[in-house]
Amino acid sequence: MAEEIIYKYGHIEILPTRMQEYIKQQEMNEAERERIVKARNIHLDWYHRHFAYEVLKPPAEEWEPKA
Amino acid sequence: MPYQLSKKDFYAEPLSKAKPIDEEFVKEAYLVFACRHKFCRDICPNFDITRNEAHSSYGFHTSILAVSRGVGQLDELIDNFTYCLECGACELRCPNTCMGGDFYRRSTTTVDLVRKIRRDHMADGGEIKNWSAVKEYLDEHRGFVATQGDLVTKWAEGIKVAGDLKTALFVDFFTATQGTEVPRLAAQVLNKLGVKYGIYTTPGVTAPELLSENDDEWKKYAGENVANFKKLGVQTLVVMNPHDYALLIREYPKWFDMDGIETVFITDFILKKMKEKGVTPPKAIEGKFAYHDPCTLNTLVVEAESPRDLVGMVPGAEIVDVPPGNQWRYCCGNGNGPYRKLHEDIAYRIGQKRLRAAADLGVDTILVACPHCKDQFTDVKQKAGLPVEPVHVIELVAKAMGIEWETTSPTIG
Amino acid sequence: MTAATSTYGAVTDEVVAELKRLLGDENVLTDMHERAMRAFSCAPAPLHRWKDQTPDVVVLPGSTEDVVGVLKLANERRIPVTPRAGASGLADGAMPLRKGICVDIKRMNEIFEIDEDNMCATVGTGINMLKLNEVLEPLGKIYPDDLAGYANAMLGGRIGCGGWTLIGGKFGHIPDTVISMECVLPDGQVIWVGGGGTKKIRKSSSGYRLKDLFMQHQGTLCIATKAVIELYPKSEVEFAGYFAFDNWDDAYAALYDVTTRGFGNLSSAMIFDDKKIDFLRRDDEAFIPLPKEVKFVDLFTMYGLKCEVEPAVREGFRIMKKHGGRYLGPEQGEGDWASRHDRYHLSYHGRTPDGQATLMSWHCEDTAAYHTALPILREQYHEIVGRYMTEYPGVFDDWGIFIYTSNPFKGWGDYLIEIDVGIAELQYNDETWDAWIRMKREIAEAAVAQECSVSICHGSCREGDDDVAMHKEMKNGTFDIMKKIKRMIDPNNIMNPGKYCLDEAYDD
Ligand SMILES: Cc1cc2nc3c(=O)[nH]c(=O)nc-3n(C[C@H](O)[C@H](O)[C@H](O)COP(=O)(O)OP(=O)(O)OC[C@H]3O[C@@H](n4cnc5c(N)ncnc54)[C@H](O)[C@@H]3O)c2cc1C
Ligand code: SF4
Ligand code: SF4
Repeated sequence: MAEEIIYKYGHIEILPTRMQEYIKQQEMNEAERERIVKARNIHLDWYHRHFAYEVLKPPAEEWEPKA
Repeated sequence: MPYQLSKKDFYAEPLSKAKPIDEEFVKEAYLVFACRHKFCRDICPNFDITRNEAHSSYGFHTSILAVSRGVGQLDELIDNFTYCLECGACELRCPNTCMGGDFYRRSTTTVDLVRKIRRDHMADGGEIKNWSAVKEYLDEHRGFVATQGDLVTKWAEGIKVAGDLKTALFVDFFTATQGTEVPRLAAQVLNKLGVKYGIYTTPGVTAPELLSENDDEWKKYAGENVANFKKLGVQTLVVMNPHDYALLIREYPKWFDMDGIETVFITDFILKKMKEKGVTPPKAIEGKFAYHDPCTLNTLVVEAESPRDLVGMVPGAEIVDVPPGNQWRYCCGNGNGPYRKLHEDIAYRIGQKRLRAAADLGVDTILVACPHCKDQFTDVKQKAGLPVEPVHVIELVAKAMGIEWETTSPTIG
Repeated sequence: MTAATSTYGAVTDEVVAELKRLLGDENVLTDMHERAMRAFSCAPAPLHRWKDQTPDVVVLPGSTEDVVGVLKLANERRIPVTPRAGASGLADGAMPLRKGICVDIKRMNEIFEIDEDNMCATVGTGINMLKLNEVLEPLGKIYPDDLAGYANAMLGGRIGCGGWTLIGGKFGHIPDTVISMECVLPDGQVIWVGGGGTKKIRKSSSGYRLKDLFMQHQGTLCIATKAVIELYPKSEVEFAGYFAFDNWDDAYAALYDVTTRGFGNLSSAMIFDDKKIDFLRRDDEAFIPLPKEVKFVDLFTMYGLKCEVEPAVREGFRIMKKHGGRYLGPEQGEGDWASRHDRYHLSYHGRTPDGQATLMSWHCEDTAAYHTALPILREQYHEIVGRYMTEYPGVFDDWGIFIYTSNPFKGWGDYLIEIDVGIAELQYNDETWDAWIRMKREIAEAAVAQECSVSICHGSCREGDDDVAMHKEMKNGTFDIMKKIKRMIDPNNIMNPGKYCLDEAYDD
């Protein structure tokens, strides 16, 4: 039951119609969402660095980096 | 930096011991309780010292949920709600924000909650231990409002201020009275760079402490500021104190239309101007420095780059501290509100821990980007006898730009 | 109620005064909100019975001596004691079923020694692994207890549960990485238990191996106050590869091959089943959106020296591709693996049958299964949860299954099969709580019917699990010995009473 989602300004978002009954969305603008995404990336980077010095890339023959 | 809007309307309705907690609010408390992962707890600089989980985002929300279930009383909780630095780290670390806040357009807002609970409690006739020290501080600032023109420009004596208010320096009472070196040196750096600016002279009471006491009064001052910015034709607001900066970026847009006004933090502004004009500070300052990311920039606004990049412009100067992501869990101990006035001892211990981490890096100077951090570290250094001198990034840059001033930092001096 | 539980002493003003004398006023908490928030642990909780399990007093000891004082007093007065560490335990071990004294050990978080020569550290059990690793970082060392609750669990709770680690395939789990520990027994006696009788020796043949006895007892035997733990060099590299599969059989076969190949660096291998993928697709903001045709995902991770991991990763790719696995790219690997501790169970992640986002709490069933039991348990678990979803629409939600390697230092044989269930906890009442216990019991029984174990991480001490674990899984004599040991060490049944059916130890 993969859900339909909204894709805008480069991120995905739940269909607002799903946030009507039990739990409602708060007022949030794009800058705030950018802040959250940025924080998430900082946090994920931190996790990688925390457990190992380097994240190994896949073998070159297995993956072509996107242009 | 674009204004960040994140607002829960139901926070406006005061909680009171006289009535049951509203269903919307119960859900809000539950959202945090439901996760219970308590990532918010272990990142909290206050919890790191007190080790009492009641003093954490998890604790705050759970105690409210308990009250809604008839376990405990609202007015008994207030002591808990004084144990918050308003640093925002827990909000970011909460998976409901960090992993899903953008997707669901709903996130954990602990700082707003803490302020709300404090002011609802006082509005309901309750008291907060040690609040008199906070009130005194706010009263002092309220008093400044009457004489402010004089005060907020006094720091600039002897400095040539040549521009109009299109580019306005926003200097609050704290910075104008206790952190004077920051605006003084910043103004001189801007002069050297040939940047024209004016000084905004009526900031009102800007202290975030006021949001915990009376948000209507805070909004009154803020509203007057916005009206003035527009009347005076302010296009770019250059802010000295990151506490003000965080309020302008995060709180103002909740209530006011900030269209047409760009708010920039001082280090960002200087950095941009240096780049625009192709200027590199001429004087090298060889040295390794600790750097403390202020929570107002690092977690509340998540814009920690500019002070670090500005230090990077100074030939020879190098930051050897851990990156911003590791500093979410640090605080200088002052807090972005009344914390230090309410919990002097814990504030000191938080600061001591932070300064010791700097000392462990083997440096003699910790750079800061916030006058409150500097004030706090100066205190802590003295009390703890730690050999690390707090210096504002602007001081370092001023020195590198050839502006003379007295410093106690062995490396910079 | 048995004879042993009917005669507990009360936490009187005098007891509180004595605790304050022992620990200092500020470390003895009696306010309702302080107690109320220590009524539950991390799993979906009986909110409708909040007061019934709120401790009478909370103490925050700062040292072994403090703990000795508290336990002696509790033992003399026969007051129940519940140790509480990070309170992230998912089997409710830290829930004070009989109220009494909550011993919250978070202040005992010192690092006493880092012994680089012998690659171990001595720490207080109130320490959190993440915090510890930040201190170890400049030394290039790490304590590799990478559980999903990494940022919140504390060593005492890890010992209390005998916890499991995501990357235990290379680094081992808590019973392996804790070398020895200091324990305070209910009568106040302080002992140090390890492989043998000393603190830093890992492997000894001397005497009984008591370390294992004082591991995963959920605070029913003692309070661990210090531990010597294993240090590892921080890994040079990390690699996490995610591979898409069209069907269960291929994903399962690939898991077998990758775990039995004999890699020295394989830290974990996993399957995300189709229901888990569907669940994640609800809000896959960090989980990079997967192509529609992806049904199952296998993951393998490797940590260690670059010169070893690089060729091993190539071999891992070969195995995955042999079974039809399609590599999902580094973005997926890096983004998802780094969010392994955080992303799976947001409070908004539940959905009602009509598709509304709802507020749910996460429950994780953590069966220890061997390889050939995995397919049948997967089917049975979904069937059980599905039935309860139909019967109680909007209360329960199937959040899919993860399968992880769990044999320490090697990938084969044992696996964790975890079905995650969303629960609308705010809607709990006696009826739904009861349904939930029945569901748990069915899952536990299905596991034991396959000769598997009820729990691999959290402990089987929750209502719904404990009875099945003690009376069915442990029926071959283990539970009988447990009861004898319990009664010998804790004659007054003050240590976390009500857990693991151990009240039965006192039935004369
Ligand atoms: C998001 C999340 C992910 C998780 N992932 C994992 C995982 O990957 N692997 C895993 O194993 N677990 C996992 N868990 C469960 C939990 O983190 C572990 O069970 C952990 O061991 C609990 O530690 P704690 O410090 O929170 O202990 P608590 O919950 O406080 O206590 C656990 C038990 O130990 C007892 N105890 C506490 N301190 C002591 C002591 N000093 N001496 C004796 N007994 C004591 C308590 O009484 C209780 O019975 C996860 C939990 C969460 C919330
Ligand atoms: S805002 Fe900061 S001090 Fe306050 S609870 Fe959150 S992490 Fe702790
Ligand atoms: S504030 Fe967030 S991390 Fe903390 S218990 Fe919560 S929901 Fe979890």
